[in-house]
Amino acid sequence: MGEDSGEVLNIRGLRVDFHTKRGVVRAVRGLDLSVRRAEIVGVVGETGCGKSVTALSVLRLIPRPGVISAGWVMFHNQDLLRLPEKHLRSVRGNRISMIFQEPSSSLNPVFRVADQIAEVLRFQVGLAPRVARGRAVDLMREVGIPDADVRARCYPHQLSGGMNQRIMIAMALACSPEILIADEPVTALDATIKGQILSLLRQLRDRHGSSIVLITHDLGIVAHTCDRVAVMYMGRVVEAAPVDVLFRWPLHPYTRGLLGSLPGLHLDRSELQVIPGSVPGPYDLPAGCSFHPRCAIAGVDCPESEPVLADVGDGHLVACHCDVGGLQ
Amino acid sequence: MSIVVLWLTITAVFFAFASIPGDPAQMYAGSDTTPELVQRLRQQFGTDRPVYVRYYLYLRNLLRGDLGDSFFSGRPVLAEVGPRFANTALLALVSIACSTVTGVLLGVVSATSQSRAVEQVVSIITLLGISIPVFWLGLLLILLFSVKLGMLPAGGTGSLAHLLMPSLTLSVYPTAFITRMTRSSVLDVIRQDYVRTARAKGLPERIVVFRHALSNALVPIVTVIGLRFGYLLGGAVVTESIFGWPGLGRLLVAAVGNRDYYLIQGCILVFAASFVLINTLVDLSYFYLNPKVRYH
Amino acid sequence: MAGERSFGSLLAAGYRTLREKRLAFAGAVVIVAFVAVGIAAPIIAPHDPLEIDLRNALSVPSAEHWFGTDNNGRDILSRVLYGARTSLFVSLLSVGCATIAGVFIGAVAGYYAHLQAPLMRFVDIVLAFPSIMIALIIVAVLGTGTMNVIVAIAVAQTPQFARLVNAIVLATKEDMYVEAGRAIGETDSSLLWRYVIPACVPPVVVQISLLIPASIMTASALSFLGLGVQPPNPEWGAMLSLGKEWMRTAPHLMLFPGLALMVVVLGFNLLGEGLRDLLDPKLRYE
Repeated sequence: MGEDSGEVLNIRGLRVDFHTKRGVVRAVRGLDLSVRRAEIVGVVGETGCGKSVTALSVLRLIPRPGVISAGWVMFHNQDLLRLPEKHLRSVRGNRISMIFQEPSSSLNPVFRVADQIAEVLRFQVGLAPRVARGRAVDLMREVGIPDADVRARCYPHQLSGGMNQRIMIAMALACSPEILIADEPVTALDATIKGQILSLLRQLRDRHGSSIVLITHDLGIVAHTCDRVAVMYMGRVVEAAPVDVLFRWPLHPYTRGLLGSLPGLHLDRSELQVIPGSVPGPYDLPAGCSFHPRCAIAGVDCPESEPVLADVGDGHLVACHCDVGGLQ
Repeated sequence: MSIVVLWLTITAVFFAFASIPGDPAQMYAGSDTTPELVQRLRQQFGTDRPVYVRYYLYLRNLLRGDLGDSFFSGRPVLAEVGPRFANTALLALVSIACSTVTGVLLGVVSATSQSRAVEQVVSIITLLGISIPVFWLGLLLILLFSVKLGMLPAGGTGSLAHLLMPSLTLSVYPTAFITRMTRSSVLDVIRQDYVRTARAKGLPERIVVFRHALSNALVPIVTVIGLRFGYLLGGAVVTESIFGWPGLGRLLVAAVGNRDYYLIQGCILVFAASFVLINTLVDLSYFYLNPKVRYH
Repeated sequence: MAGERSFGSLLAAGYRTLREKRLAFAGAVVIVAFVAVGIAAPIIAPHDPLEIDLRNALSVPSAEHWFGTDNNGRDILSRVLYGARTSLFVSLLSVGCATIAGVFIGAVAGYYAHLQAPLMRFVDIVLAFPSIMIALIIVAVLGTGTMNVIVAIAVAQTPQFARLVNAIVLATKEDMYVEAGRAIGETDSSLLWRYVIPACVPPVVVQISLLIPASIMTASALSFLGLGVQPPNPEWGAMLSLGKEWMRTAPHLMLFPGLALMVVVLGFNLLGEGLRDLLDPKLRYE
């Protein structure tokens, strides 16, 4: 761990709990994730596995009644979780930025779009209003918005979802951050626009050298866009590997199940596989390994304790009691 | 559209009064009088003509700016109403301005405070504010500041000291009301995605709350304040009476007591026109505040 | 949605809310006390509220007169208790009439499209004025006195119910399950009873809880101005008016009627908050 290995972000043992009237929901239960420089890391999992919560935790944007109860998020030898508010604010939007799933509702409806981009520049970099505005229009052009100077004066409701997501990206890139966290950035967009936005993200990584953490439930996106991928299940990372390695040699039973349920992927199956059972509710966590009730190879140890993420070689990490490394 | 509303109002009130049995001329003349005097009063009041003629004359004179003459004082209604309208307007504007500023601030504080104690305190204060009878509050203030402490004059007009207690009395209910509205509106807005984005940009919390959240939260608040203007200032009638504030409310009360129908109609007309004006202003401001309406 | 919650489950939820929220419970207690006092005033009042005793005029609270006496020597406590009776009477009658008239107008306007615009336009006009002004106009027409006050307040409050019911009727008319009902041939009156009326009940109940204290306030304000309930009838607003005159020498005159007014209105507001929480659609998804 550390900057010499090219790591920019290192999340260790993250735990996030939500204190609701019906009890405590442990949305993230001991999550480990690392991000290297200029790398696109995909975080993939089903709805409710805690991937969005993880993303929000990095910048401490978890709303009440959520609480980050344990772990650390190391960014350049600083633990973001224990950073004073004032310093955190200079990280947000500046060195680590974030874009969200619903771009049209993530922009303030009563301000013009260019002003919202300029706002980051004024507060984080201290640019004068006029200069900031000019730079905002430049950024709009950079993210591929046609007629940027005209569109600059528009309000979010006058632009399409795809356009607004570009605005969000422009806003996120304004200060040339080292990391961009993208929480389901294309889920709410049309199929034709999805590809454009994703390739925009890749271009920006190439141009600026920023890392991207891409949260998604879509394995196709992961396959096309990411360099490395982490698979999440019930608040933990169960497997992480470079993309081609994961798709060719999935080791964790859950990952194998996920990939097996995709039509036409690299596995030799004539019919779609389904993972038996369903995701447990947030209040009924299984003991031990959270996947064991649905796992085909569950053993004696599995209900007893949570498996830890272990390196099985070539940057491939798996969290499983069974010796799945041998299957490689 | 508003003209129609105004016209309907005047008409309704006119016919309501015209349908009252009894003769105002007789009433004003008193019991110890002569038939000639009564007849002369009738001519003066215009009640010797049939209803529809009177209505027509009333409308015609209205358009000329003549609202008739007060039964009680004999002076033109417009002359009675004019200066008093200014006094009421002053009281109303000062009260609404103070209430809005205070209410919005308190509402924001209550909505964004992390401490439950603050929320509870504000909640109790606003509850008391909307429950306390406005005339009792006025009397208590007079008791405290005029009678016991002798700091402020108990009534009349003419200086800032005279304005203080009436406007304070009148402001309590709107302040409490606006505080609650603001709190609820801000709570709604602060959960929105764009507020999260503002935080994710690393903006200071006060900018997040006052620039991003409040600008959106104010839109429904301003609308409601405008629409419920009459409701908020219902206390003006009584307040003016308690403090001897020479305004339209007090005039209306006196006119009702005197069965001075032209004067009552005049007051109602002016009030109605004011409400219509405020409604229009609110519509305009909504248009300005909400870009979604401006740029379709 | 209409009919989704049975009356029984609503009562059960209501009881739970009252128990959980102590403030709403306190409000309910106050209201019950108010009604009880209003009904039982003749029995529990220590003195005759109209009995004049000039030797004891303006005396401060004592064992004999817990709230003291007014300028005519009348026992203030008894007058306050009877004042509750007056307020109860006035508010129940006026709000009751306003409810019936308002629901009728709102429903008719909603049902007959050609009546919608003119009726609702008129309703809007009246709504723009504060209740007290409408009440003043009616008093100017009818004269002062208790019954006229009731009419005045009823007229002032009718538009509030009319608007409320009108909105619900219009919305329900468009609602899909009503269309479905009509498609399978349900008659209009059956649709009315099964869907429209149940949808109206919760908001109307909430509105009643808001307007009863409002009517008490308006009646008191009118009486305070001398244009409402006439002396020597005991009424809190009228008593406050008297209190104003004697403020310098006998401030206790204005203390108790005002306090009574505030406590009653407070009680209704507390309960109203609880009621609104209960009947608000948000709670249905709990």
